[in-house]
Amino acid sequence: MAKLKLILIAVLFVGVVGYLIYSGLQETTVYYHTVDEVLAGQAHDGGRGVRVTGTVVPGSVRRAADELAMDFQIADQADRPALTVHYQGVIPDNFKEGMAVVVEGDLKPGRREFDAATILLKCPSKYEKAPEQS
Amino acid sequence: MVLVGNFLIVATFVLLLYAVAAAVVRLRTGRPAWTDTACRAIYAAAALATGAAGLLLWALVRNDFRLEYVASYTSTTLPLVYRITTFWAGQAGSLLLWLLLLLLFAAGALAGFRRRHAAVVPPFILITAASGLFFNLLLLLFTNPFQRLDVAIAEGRGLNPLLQNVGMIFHPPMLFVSYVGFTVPFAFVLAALAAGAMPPDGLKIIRRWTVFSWLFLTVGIILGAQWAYVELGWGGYWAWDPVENASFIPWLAATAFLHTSILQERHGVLKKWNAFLVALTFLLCIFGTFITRSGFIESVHAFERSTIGYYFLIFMAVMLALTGGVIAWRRQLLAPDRPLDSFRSKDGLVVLTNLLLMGFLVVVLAGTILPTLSELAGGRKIAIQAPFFNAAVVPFAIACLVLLGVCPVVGWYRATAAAFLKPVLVFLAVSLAGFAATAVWLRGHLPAAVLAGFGLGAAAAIVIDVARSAWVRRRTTGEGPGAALANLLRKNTRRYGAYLVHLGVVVFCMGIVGSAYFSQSFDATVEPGQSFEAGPYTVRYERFDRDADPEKEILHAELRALEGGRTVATLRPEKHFHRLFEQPMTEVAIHCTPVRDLYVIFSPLSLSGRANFKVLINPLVLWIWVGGIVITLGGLLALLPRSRRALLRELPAEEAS
Repeated sequence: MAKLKLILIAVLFVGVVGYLIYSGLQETTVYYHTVDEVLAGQAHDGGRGVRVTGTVVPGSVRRAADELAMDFQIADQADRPALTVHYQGVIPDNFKEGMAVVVEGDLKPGRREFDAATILLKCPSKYEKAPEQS
Repeated sequence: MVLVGNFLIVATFVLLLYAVAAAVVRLRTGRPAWTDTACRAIYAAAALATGAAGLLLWALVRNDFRLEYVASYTSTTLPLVYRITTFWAGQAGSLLLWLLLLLLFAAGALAGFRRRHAAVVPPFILITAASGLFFNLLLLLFTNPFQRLDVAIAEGRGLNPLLQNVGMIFHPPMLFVSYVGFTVPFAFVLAALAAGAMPPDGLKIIRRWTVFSWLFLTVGIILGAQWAYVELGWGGYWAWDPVENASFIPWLAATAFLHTSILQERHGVLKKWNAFLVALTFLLCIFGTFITRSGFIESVHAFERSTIGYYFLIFMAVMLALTGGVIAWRRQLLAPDRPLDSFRSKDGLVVLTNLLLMGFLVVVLAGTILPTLSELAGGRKIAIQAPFFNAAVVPFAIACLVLLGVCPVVGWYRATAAAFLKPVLVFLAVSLAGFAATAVWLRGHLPAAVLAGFGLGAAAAIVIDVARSAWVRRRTTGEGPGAALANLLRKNTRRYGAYLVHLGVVVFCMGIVGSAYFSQSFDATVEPGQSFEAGPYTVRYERFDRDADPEKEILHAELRALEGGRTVATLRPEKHFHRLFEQPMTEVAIHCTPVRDLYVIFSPLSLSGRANFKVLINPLVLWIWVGGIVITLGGLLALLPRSRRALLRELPAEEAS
């Protein structure tokens, strides 16, 4: 009897927690795309915008002198084709060329350009400086 | 300096090896003299580690750039207090701190119980000294704080300006204290099991160390949130980032133990479960350290990426195997004294609390590691972010508030249906009234209203229970109302400490409900002299200034916030450009009131003063910090040492309550 109760509770527990995780994932998971995937036309907008990872191509950043806007290019690797990104908004403090970023926004249909609503930085140096590059 | 430091680290290592060996010999031969020598080795190792830490601190304070660690993190212009905090800014220093705390706690715990529980001492030393050896080995092989710098330099690289904040003085060491503190109950449980008998006051020792570590973890997490809020300048305090989750997951396990350990203490039930929770808490602390230091999980907070994290994984695997082995070996010691009580009593509710906390733990853990697992399994790159956790937290928060309200009104023993239902119905009625009032006031917002309603009900249940007990005491003893309340709290610090913690949790939850559901954001690009609207406020951009000091160049803005034509606040956000650091720093300005925070982020666009301002209105944020303070006070009250008289009275008193 006591054992049965225990099993019942365990099943209920696993069921409820499993359901919460599953339904949560269904509603909130965001998929990343690489620049190559986007350029090959494989990125699909799931209704929640597109999210692209890449490295900021050195020398590609154009900031309007007095405006909250900038253009830059991202690529998977130095020798891969690049995607041009337009961004309007406050530029994050730690944005720089050559760093890995995630841009979130809309893909302009038929063009190799991207309108970013947000820039997320994958910055390894919040607490410690990155090891010196030699 | 380099020589002495290295000598101290090596000598500590040798002493710990000796302690392990002596403990093994003691277990093999059974000769008590070996226990004493092993104990002394731990004390000596603690003293040497203190010496090493003192030496590193001295080098940091004096800017001794002959040490690579000092040169990497301080500079001559860094204020003294931050030169001290650089002790834990880097990998090597933080691991030395870990080792130091581990040895100090082990020595302290040993000094406390070695006479009373001689049998537990050898395996306890074995486990703590072996853990110490692990950290000591990392220091020796991978990241030595006493590494000599080969070239002479005149200036260090300085501390990341983000870390130059009051929150960062206390937040990391508090987390370290708690992580290391959890080692003591873990080692004690395993040692007592290995020794073949849990001493009668063993659970008390385990509980006190857990409460102590739990308190530091709680305060550490809240201080971290506070630091993020005032320093990182994005307007929030918690983002469900893997690094944040890494500290929250063991908190959930420790909280679960604090609840079910009461049942073990009173009725001798759930022993296996409690041993599991103590071990789980410790293992999750190590797991958290692994994910934050290995770069295994992508996080905006990532520490220096290094292979060192993977050694934590190995350490955790070893400890996990040890735990599993010992619990399986001694399972007959963990058999319950009697079956669990009915669900119509506090016992059942405490078990329910545990299920909730465990459920939440599983959800947070899954959300934290699933993206990495999915990638490892060759699946797609996915991101699980704040929306997932925010959605999942609501049902758990509601259930927790309900339990917080029901528990104080339900007795310890199985009640008749009527006696159980009546107080619960009263609680539900108060909650429903609170819900209705909030829903009408907010014109909808049902989840927030439900949380506010149950929060009110829970707070009322706690306050009424305390007031009723104080009133009874006043009648029976004839004391004044103030004295009756104070004596009541003093008589059972653990019980009322817990009540205070629960009250703090309610206040804390209300702060989160306010700021999570009702935050507003406004954005404006303006010239000095112009104004813009932000919710109930009119914000005037008064002035723009430039300034410089030896460390940095500073751009200031001065804004005046008006509400109904009256000035309510003057805000001075800044932007800093540090000379030693490439990235600029945003210093936000916050006008904090009990009702809402006015939070301003300043982004200068030109030196003429044209600037963009992001203005956030975050309701009830102050409640979060106040709730944190109340939780801390409650924890401290529960930890207060009891007088001898109270201890003597304890058993009959607790049976009666």
